[in-house]
Amino acid sequence: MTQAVLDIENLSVTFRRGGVPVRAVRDVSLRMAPGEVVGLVGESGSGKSVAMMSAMRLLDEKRAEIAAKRLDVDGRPVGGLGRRGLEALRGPVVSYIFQDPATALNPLLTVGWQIGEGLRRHRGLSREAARREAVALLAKVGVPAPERRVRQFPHQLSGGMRQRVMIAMALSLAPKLLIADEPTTALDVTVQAEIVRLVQGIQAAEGMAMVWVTHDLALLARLARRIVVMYAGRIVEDAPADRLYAAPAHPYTAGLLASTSRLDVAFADQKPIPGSPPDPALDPVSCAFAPRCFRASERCRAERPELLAHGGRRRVACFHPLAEAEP
Amino acid sequence: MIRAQPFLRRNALGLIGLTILFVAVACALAAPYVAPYSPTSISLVARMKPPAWIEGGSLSHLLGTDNLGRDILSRVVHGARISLAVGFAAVILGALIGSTIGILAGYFGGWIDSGLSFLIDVQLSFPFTLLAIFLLATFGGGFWPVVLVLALATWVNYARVVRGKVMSVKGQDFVHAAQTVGVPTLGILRHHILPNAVSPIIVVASFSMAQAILTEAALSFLGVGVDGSNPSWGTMLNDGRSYLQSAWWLTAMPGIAIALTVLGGNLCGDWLQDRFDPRLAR
Amino acid sequence: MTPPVIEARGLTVSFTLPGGFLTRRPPPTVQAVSAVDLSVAKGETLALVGESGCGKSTLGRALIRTQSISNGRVLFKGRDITDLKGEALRAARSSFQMIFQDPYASLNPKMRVFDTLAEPLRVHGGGSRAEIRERVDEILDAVGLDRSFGARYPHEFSGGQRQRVAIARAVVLKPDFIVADEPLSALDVSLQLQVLKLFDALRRRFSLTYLFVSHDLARVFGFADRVAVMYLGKIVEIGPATSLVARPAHPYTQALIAAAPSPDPVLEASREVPRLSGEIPSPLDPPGGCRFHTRCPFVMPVCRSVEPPMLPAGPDHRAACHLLGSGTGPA
Repeated sequence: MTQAVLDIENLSVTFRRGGVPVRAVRDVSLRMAPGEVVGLVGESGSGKSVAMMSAMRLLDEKRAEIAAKRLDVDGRPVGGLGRRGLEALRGPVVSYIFQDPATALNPLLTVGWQIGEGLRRHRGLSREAARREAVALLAKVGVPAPERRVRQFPHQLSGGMRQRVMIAMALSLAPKLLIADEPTTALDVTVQAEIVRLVQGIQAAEGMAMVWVTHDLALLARLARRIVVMYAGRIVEDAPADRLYAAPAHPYTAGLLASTSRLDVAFADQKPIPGSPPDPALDPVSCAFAPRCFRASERCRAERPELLAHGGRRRVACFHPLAEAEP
Repeated sequence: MIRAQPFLRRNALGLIGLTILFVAVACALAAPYVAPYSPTSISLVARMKPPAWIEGGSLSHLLGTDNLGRDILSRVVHGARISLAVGFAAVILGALIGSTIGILAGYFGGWIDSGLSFLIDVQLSFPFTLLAIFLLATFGGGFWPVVLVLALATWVNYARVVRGKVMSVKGQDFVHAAQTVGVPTLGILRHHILPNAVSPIIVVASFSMAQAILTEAALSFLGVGVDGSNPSWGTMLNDGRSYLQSAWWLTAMPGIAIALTVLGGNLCGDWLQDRFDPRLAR
Repeated sequence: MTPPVIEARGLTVSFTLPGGFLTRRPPPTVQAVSAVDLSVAKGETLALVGESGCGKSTLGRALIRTQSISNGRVLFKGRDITDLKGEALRAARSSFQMIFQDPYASLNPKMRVFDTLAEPLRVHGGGSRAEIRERVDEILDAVGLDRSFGARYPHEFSGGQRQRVAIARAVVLKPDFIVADEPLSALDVSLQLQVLKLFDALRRRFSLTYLFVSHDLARVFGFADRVAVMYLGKIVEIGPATSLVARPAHPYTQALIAAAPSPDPVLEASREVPRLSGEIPSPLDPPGGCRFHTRCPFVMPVCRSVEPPMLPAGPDHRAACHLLGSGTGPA
């Protein structure tokens, strides 16, 4: 079996809020093959970003307690890594694109300097060589006039351009895994479409594995081969994208799908998910989605469904899945 | 591994500050019952007694006596009354003046803000102690004049902080929403702006409390403070000045009282600041 | 015929930016909204769609007079309210309400939900304590919140619930005209539809009139009666929602529709997006002629010099594009 680029087993992340423990991620297991593109979907508070940040050790570990049977990136356990180990991990092996490019860039340094920083540190490039490489990277992410842009500061760029700079930074060391955490949420619709196409093209050309974190299933239809849906800290469905869009198995996935904005369904026929997401401080023994679920039975309110194989290529945590199991 | 930090450890310094202030206030309120003697009763036979733990001291005067044979402990305890009363009154008056000016400047902006900000800058660039001495020496000391002068010294702190806070609160949508609903200006200030600007006022108040007590002591030491028969810590320092060589405890005891109270106020201030800082909350 | 609830004629809003330090040049001005004509009929929902910085929020605020107007008129039920001041303005504003984007900033954190909802009633003499309580309870029911929530503070609620409170506050006075400024964009997709359904239910129940500002055309399409598309301070296309989405006349509207992702991998894989060249120009220095010509895939020489007028593109449907005049509409 090939070496997984991301291998998470039984990951739980607990925060302390005041004196109350809040389990943001609960018993999540996820394996990704090299080059695989996964869309990680869930509402805010579902734990999707926290799960990904813990794989990169980006959480403030004074506040977050991370427990996992296995937490490997490209075969190396990240749990025990010290400062040196993390430096060798972040950039060349895994990199992260944040939601808000306005705060993720240092306002006092030129974009060229920031893109070249990793190259100078990890590859030992000279200033001049790093600058030339930064120009090439900016050209690759579709920034016009890259020779001029490398000398500019973040505030001189539009939001879309800044996000392209972030992508260039994340790509600079050719990572094996790219984690994009809602990178288009802060952007306009037309810019979002361009960024999605850009990243899709780069992924196809370079072949790195990618996780795209979002709350919008519609966005992932073009990008992801595999969709992982999280609710209240747990994975509730994990399926190939074509199967998931055509026939969602978990009622929550079906609700998310029905909630996406679309031009081809009459407003009266668009059915929202009722109710509110659960309080993350609660840890029910039942199915967390049961209070909002139209298929919930007595069993769902008494017992929690485990994430189990549902046919050959799907995992679902539901007693009453909507789609039949397929081979 | 993380553990919920125990309440005591998270709040240790704040609790120490609170305890100090509480003891000081308790002493001030219950001075006649706490103090073993009257602060003014003179005993010529027991002059210049050192504190009890020093050769020649006695348990009847724990902290010794002064040049007129007055019990130092009783005078320190009674002195808390004046010092704290001056401190509290100055803080309340200063907070009232400063917050009002800060809210007006922050909310209305424009020329009101420019004018009031100019006033703040003038105040900040003025050698305040000199002005205070001049005013008190010219118009006479006493409790209320000193309070007034101290309030004049501290209002700027409130005004600056409150102005900034009000400007940020003013820009928030819930204020716009209230304006859209047609809530009159006074209602917006009272229900929407003020409750959201209270936390910095409280923080500044505890720092200013310390500052006021210190300044009161300085003014009394210079002889322009709260005079009268009742001692304040500052006048005790002043009285003991001539005996620094022979009887250090005359100045050391009120000095320690001042230092502790100021420390208490500042600890409380730091603690409240952390508590109210949204980035540190939770 | 009854006049529209709200009408803008040649409405222009300019901002003066701070001038340069030690220069004699006049401080630069930006026209956030540039000579806009618009009307909203009673009971109608008009969606105002555009990207950030196009002036859609500013236009919404100017219509309810919470944004100062540089030029043009605003009419409320046929009455000119452009120059109202002081008490008269305050009285007129009580017919309007606004719902904001960020439900975390639009509720006073130190005020109980009950007081937040009661405040508009008290300000406008809403009657006795019992009457106010009754109306607050009624509105909590209407927005789907439990009556007991009145005793709570905003921090105890999720984003979606807060937005329900904000909507309740706007609706409690049964205003003639509500401006909703991107009320969905801070919410998750799953809650967006839920809150939009609430807007729809309230509209029916209290016969409300909305101006619904949004950056997401696909989201508001089925909900709105009419859609207006804004670009750099101008309305470039306006028409009935179905007609505008089925037969978009302006290339910018076409780009917005094409950019909206659809949850269908098969459709998405086959779809090509007409790429807009370049970026939105700075509103400080808008392009001459048609403001969209720097990015338009169908740009013609005339577009660079002549600003296109609003031309008919269907029944009640108009767009500002030279292609309509030339008789060869874009494909």
